[in-house]
Amino acid sequence: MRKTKRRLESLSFYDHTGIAAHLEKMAAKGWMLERIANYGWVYKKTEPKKLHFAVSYYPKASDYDPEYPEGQQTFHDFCAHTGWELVCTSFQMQVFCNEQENPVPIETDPVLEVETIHAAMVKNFFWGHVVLLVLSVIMECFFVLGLLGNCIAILVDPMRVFSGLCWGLVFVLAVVELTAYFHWHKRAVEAAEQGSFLDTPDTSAIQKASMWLLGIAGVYLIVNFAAAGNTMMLFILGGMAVFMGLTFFAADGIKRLFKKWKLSKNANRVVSFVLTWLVAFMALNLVTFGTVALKEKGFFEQKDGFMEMEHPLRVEDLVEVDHKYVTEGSPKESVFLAYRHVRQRPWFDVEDWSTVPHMEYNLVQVKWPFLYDDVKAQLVKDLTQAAQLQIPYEDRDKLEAVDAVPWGAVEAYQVVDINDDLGMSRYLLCYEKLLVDIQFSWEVTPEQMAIVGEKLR
Amino acid sequence: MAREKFHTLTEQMFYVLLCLRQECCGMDILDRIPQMTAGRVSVGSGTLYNLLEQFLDEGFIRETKVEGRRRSYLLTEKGREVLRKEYRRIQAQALDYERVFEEGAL
Repeated sequence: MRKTKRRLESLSFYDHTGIAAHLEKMAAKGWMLERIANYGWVYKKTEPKKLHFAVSYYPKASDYDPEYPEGQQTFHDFCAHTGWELVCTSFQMQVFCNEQENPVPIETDPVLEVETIHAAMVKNFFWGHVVLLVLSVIMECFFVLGLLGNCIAILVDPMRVFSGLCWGLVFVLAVVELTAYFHWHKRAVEAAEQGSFLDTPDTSAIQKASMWLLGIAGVYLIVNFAAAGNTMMLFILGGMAVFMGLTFFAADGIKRLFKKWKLSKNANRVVSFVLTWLVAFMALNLVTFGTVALKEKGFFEQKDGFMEMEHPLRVEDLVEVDHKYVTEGSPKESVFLAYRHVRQRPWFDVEDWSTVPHMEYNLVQVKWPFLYDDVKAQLVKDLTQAAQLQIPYEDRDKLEAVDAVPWGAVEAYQVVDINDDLGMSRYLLCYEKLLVDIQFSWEVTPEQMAIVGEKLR
Repeated sequence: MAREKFHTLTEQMFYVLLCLRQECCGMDILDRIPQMTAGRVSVGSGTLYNLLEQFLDEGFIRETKVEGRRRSYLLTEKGREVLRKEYRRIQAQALDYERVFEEGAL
C-alpha cells in the first residue's frame, strides 16, 4: 500500500479555515500532511486520527531560511506549550496540529489575526497574483489583437487557442483570488473590530473548475495533434511538459538542498534563482534543438509539403490534363475551425506555367455559427487586401457579387483584380458552414462551378 | 471607524500586561492567565507572541533576561500607566453599572 501521496490542493494561501478543515478530514482518513512543495502537498500514511489543525501566519518567515530564525522558533515553542505541534511550513504559512479535545486556539484576537494574515499576503502572494494579473492582461490583449487582426489564423491554430484559454484562466483566477481576498479582508476587519472572527472564503470550486478545463483542453490538444499525425507538435508538447516539470522540481529541490547545506537566506534566494533559471534555459534549449535536429533527420512525418494527401478537389476533377502535378496541402484544425490550404501546380518540367491549368484554394469550415460572419469578414479583408495599408484603397482588389446558384452556394463573389496582375480568376464561395477562397488559372464554366460545389460541400 | 491602537485594551492585552507586573517569560504567561482568571480568559500562543512584539515596540514592556530562546519581560512605567488607565476605565464602567442596576439611576 502507498505510504505517501501527492495532491494538488486548490486552497488559497490565506484560507486558513478551509486548509484546517481539509487537513482534519485527511487525518481522519489516515493521511498526515508532511510538507507543501511546488508540485503538490505531500501526505504520509498514518493511523486515522481525530486531530485539530490550525494554520497561522508568521510574516517574517522566508522559505529560504536555512533554519527557522529565533523569533519563528519562539513562536513554535509558544504553540507547542499549548499542545500545537508544528506539521510543516510553506513561506509565511505555519501548519500545526493538536491532539487535545478542546485546545486553546493559536489565534484568540481577531484583530491581530487579520493583521498577520494581511502582512503575510502583502509580503508574498499578493504581489505574485498582481504579476500574474498584469501578465495575463498583456497576453490576452495580444490574443485579442491577434483575433482582430486575423481571426482565422488564431482560431484555427489549436496551440494559440490553448494559449488564449490558459492566459484567460490565469486572468480569471488572479481576479477571483485578489477580489475574494480583499472582500474578505474588508469584512474581517469590520468583524474583528466587533470582536468576531470571520471564516475565509472558499474559492476552490473555481480553481478546480479551471484545472479541469485546462486538463480537458490539454487532452484535446494532444488528441488534435495525434489525429493530424503532427508528431512534431506532440514532441514539443511533451518537451514543454518535461521542461515545466523540471523547472518546478529544480526550483524546489535546489532551494531545499541549499537549506540543508545551511546557505544564508539571501545567498539561497539568489543562487536558487540563477540555477533554476539555468535549468529552465537548458531544458528549453534541449526541446528546441531536439525538435530541430529530429526534424532535419526526417523523424517527424509531414502531412504538408510534397506528400500526396486526400484532397476534396483536384484540377483533374475539372479539366482533362496530361501533366503531372505537385499538390501541397496543409490542414489545420481546432475546436472552432477546420482549415485546409491546397495548391496544385504543374510539375517542374513544364516550361510555361501559364499554359497549364492550375488552381489553389482555402477551405474554412466554421464549427460554431456565431463565428461565421467574422470568418467571412476576415476572408473578405484578405481578398480585398484591406490589411495591406500601403496599398491605396483605389488600387485594392474588389469583391463583386456573382450568381451563387452554379456553385450551389448561398453567396458567391468574384475578386476583381484591379491591376490585373494575378492572371487568375478568384472567388469567395459561402456555403452554410463552409467558406471557400478559390482561384483558377482559367475562366471556369458553369459545369465546372457545379463540380466545385459538389466536391467541396 | 478603527479603534486607535491601545486606546482601550482587550481582555487578553490587559491580562498579559498584568502578568508582567513581575518578571515573567512568554510560556509562563500562557499558564498564568487561565490560572489567574479561573479559566475564564485564555490567550492563544500566536496572539501572545504578537502581543509581546507589539508591547515591546510600544515600550510597554522590556526584555529582562534571555536564556537561549526563553525571554523574560517586565512591565515598564509606560506599561504600568496604560494598565492603570485601563483599570480606571473598567472601574468607571463598573460604577456606572452599579448606579444603573442597583440604584436605578440613569
